[in-house]
Amino acid sequence: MKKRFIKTAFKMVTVVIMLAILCSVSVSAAIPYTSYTYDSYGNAVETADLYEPEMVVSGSDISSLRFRQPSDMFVAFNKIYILDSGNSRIVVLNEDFKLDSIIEQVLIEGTPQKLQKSSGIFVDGNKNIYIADNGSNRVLCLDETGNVFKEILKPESEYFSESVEFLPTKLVMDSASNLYVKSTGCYQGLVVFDKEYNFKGFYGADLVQTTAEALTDFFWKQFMTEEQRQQLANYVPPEIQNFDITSKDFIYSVTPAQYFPGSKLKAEMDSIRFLNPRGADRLVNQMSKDAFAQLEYDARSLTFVDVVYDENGFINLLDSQHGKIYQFDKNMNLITAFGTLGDYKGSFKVPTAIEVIGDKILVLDKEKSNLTVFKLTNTGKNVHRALMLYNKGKYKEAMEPWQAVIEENPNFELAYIGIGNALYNEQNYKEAMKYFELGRDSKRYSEAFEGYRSQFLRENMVMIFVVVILTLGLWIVIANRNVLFKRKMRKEGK
Amino acid sequence: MMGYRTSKKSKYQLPFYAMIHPTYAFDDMKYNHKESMRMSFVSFFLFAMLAVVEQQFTGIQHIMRDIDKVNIFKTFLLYGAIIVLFVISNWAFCELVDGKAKLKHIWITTNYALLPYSLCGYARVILSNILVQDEAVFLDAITFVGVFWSLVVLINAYMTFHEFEISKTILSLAITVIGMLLIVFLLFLMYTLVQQMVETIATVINEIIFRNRLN
Repeated sequence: MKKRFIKTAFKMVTVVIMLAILCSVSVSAAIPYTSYTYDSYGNAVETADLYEPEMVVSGSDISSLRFRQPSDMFVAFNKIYILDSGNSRIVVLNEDFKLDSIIEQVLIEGTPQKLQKSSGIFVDGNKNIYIADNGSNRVLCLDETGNVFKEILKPESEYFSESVEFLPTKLVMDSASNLYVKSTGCYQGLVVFDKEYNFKGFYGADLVQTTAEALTDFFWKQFMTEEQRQQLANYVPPEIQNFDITSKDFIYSVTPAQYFPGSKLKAEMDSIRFLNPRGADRLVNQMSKDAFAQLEYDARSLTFVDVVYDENGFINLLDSQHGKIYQFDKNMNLITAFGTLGDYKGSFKVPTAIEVIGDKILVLDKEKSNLTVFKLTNTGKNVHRALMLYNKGKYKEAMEPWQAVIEENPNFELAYIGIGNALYNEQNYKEAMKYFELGRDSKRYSEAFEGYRSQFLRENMVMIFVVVILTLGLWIVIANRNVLFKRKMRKEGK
Repeated sequence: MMGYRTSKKSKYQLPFYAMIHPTYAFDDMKYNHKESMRMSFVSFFLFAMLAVVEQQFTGIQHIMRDIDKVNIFKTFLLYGAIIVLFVISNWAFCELVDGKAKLKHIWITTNYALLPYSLCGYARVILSNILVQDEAVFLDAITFVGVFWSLVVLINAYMTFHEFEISKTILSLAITVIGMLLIVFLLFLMYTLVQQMVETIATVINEIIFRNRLN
């Protein structure tokens, strides 16, 4: 009897355990990727997921037609404008990812026009839509209903070589209505058009990197004839791949790693830039280098296709090579990397565009023809809240969310540094040192230590003086003990 | 030659005396047979241990070490091996160019000469816990002093024991370093060759075992 009872009890326990295992498996299967970040030694460290896939919008669930090779999207007025280029239409979703409206056709003077390989979309403050129509070598400017009111063709200018085609792929507009267009093959930078759509100039070309190869070629070029020189490969700056504009007219641009003629090595990974309205890189070079040094292992095979700047101060980069999203904060600290290639919900095949709406990240996939929505997890919310406060300098207020982050995710170095900074500002140097050590920030640790040292000296000044004077006195006595001793002897002798 | 310039220091005091008066101390050691194997091992241990101590106890404001990659034994053996290699290389070379020192003398004097560097190193580790990052230049200065000091003692020691003049001593030091690389290369070569040989024999034995089983 007893034996039987034990047996059934054992069976039940086994079943419960099996169920628990099954449940845990199904829970972990919901997110097809593992998020990670890099610690200060360059080791990849798994972290809790900051984002999880919320839903996938494929078009058929909101309209009669599925998306076909959507190539770009843009978020404006809390609406998502999706350039559904395979279907020659523009689908507008509201912030709940339900259908808002569809611009079925692009009309030029009343006649419907097919979009040809169009790959870039932008919506300005008057709800005018700009489309970079690559196949027909023009930029189309439409109003809300889809009527084209302006076609921008190849600018006639001596700066624009005749042999170069106008192949617009991406575009943005700044607050002064200047239109920045990326044209493939145009290494001088982005093509800028002014308010009246006249060609204004080029903007933000990258620099040719000085390599040993480029230098030797330059040396030999001095001895060559004109014909020989023409046969040599030209060193031109790499083209900007994609860009995003902030509300203050600064442009974040990504440039794919450069290949140099004749060498298979990828160049330095200096491929994210923060351009001011004059076209100069404002992301201090060191910072950009540090950012990519963090990606030491990933960076060799990255192909960034899109960048989006979140007004909360986060920079999201989309890599098509491995289907990953890299999120940096304003100071170019890697917060998280997540995403993967595959067929599950939350993975991609050919990711082409990334956008942010609220605190959600949207990724458009050209091959799978769908839109994946990622929402913040609890950890993610804490991290974002803490970082937003922290980057505003509100260290004290950021302390509480940082604590929550550490509880969920003890591998997050920034959290320790954040708490350390708060403690440092309260002049609690000793605790701050502890946290900077955990955050492995030797520079901040050194500063906290300096504070602690002077505090210690101030508090124990008297003791230190007493000890020093006593030691000196003792030393003098011991050093002269013979003299003192002899004098005494002499006295006694007398 | 007995009684040549006796320094009145015992053989255990001599390594410390050699830090301040290298020429005198090494003469004394050579002609009055005051070499101490025990002290040389103490100095050797201090040197190899310094690397470990530096790794473990330097202030965090100066090095943020990756704890996963710290291996005390590896560090200790590496630094110890460098000294052994240096001594062997120097002995091998100087034997060719009529250096008078025996291997034992080279070992002892080399380790004596490391003493200033080791002591400076320990001072540096202690100071590194008091100084902040901006003051790190003092630590570098201490290291420089230590290296320079050790080098002076080492040259004096080799001049005395090999009976070289100074230019020849410095040249021999340079060649010793090259010799170290050569020895490492040869060791590596031997390692791979032996490995291949072992592999061949192991394959043959395996083959025989398998064939026996089949039959």
